[in-house]
Amino acid sequence: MKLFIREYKGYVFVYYLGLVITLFYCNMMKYINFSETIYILLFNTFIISCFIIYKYLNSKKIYNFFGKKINTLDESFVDLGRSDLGKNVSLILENQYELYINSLQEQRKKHDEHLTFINHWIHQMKTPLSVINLQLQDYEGEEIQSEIMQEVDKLDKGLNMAMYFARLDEFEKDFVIERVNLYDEIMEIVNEEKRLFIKNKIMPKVNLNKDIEVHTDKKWIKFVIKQIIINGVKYSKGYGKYITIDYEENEKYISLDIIDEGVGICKKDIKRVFDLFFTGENGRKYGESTGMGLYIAKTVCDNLGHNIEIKSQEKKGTKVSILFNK
Amino acid sequence: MNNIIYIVEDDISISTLLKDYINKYGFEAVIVENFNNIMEEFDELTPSVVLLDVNLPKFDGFYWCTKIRQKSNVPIIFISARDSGMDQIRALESGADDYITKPFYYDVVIAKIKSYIRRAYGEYSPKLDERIVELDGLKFYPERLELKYKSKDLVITKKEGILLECLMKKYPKVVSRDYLLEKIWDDIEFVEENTLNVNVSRIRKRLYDLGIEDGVQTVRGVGYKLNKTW
Repeated sequence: MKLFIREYKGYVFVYYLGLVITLFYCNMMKYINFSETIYILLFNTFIISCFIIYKYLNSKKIYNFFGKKINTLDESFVDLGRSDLGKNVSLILENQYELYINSLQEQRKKHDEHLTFINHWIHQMKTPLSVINLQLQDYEGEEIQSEIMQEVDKLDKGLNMAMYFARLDEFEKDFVIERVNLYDEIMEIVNEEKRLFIKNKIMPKVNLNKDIEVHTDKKWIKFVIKQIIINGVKYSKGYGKYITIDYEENEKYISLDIIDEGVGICKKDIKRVFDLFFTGENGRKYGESTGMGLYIAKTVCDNLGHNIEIKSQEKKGTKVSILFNK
Repeated sequence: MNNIIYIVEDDISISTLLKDYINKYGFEAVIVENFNNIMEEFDELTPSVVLLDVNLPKFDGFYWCTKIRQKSNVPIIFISARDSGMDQIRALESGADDYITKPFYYDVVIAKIKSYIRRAYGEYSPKLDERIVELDGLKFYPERLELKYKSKDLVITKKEGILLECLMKKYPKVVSRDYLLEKIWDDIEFVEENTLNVNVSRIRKRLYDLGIEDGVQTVRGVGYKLNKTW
């Protein structure tokens, strides 16, 4: 309404200005008398009012629309009335919408292609990695073998990280919630990582009941827990002796705690450890930090509806807890 | 008759390595020849276990798994780089018995093959030849945990057996401590450094009982090696 008035007050002003000047002139020249002047004024007011009201009714929608914001893309499809202005504006909107959707689809296609490429590529790389791995197994126990094996291990972990990172995008297509026995999962992870523990001279301590079950996705949660345990071992080297895996339970949730006795995380870093590509003080000091692990862990936990918390004291150790709702 | 293990995997390096390793354990591994005629090859071979990759030329592993299941209850183990839960579920739904993800360990494959053969064919499965680890007259039977030298023999513990087998197989090379620790790492009770020390001194004593003195030599900072004094 405001916009409409602002738009038309100029017209009305000019209209009356012309009218008043004409009437004034006619009065001065005595062409018409006073009562006729009043009559003409009223008559013209009636005509201009009709015109303004017609205009208003016709373009009410578009002026109302101008005052609002578009919140979703679909709102671009609105009926803006029969006025030329309205029709043209809604045509432009539609046109823009189409162009936008097209380019969005193109981007989406490119993104999908890229994802497919990443997935294929990772699987492709796993085959030569398996071959190296198998051939190395013949030289087990030898110094050089374990060095190479360690690097192969890093490659494999890196590939997995890339794969899980790529998969985050399609999380909703790629998870199965089931009852998962925490003890079994933890034991499996610890045994898969035995080489890492031995190499870094850290001992795992698993204080879990054998029958704790939580609702979660097995594969994703395994990745998360593994990531946290690997971090724990990495930042405990030369500091702590144990990685303790403990749990707490109350009416609301089961908390899985992974506690290391390592270097810990300094105060200014701890808030940002879940940020993507954040490596912090420890990352700089110890290297080989990608800033992806904990980001993926956090995102996965958010997606699965678990809470993940981290507490740390410098030079004392770090405790990461995953809270599973009951 | 030997147990035939049918390997359906399109990477030649992997299938050859697998074949060689499996053959060492007394099975007869056969690699797929024609990816178009997997069913014909299967019928001809009548394998005891099938190892199946997911990514194959033409049809994928799930397809062949379903095909095989239509006519046989043979244990099928998938070996694949795909590790998503969906793939594993699909594999099991197509009738597979197990799923191993790449990269994998020989030991895991062998253990699974053995366990499926035992489960599927029970006592009637053809007996495998007993494994013997031998080094110049010193004989070790891993399945019985028996150690023999000249006329003497004795039974040792499982952990001692694992360590001794490693040392004998690797002779004359030095075996690293980390590797030995990894070998005796128990899936439930994790081993500490000390356990290794204890077990190595026990092996020394066992060898001494057999009449071999100074049988195990410590290489500082690296690990242990057998010292062939006999």
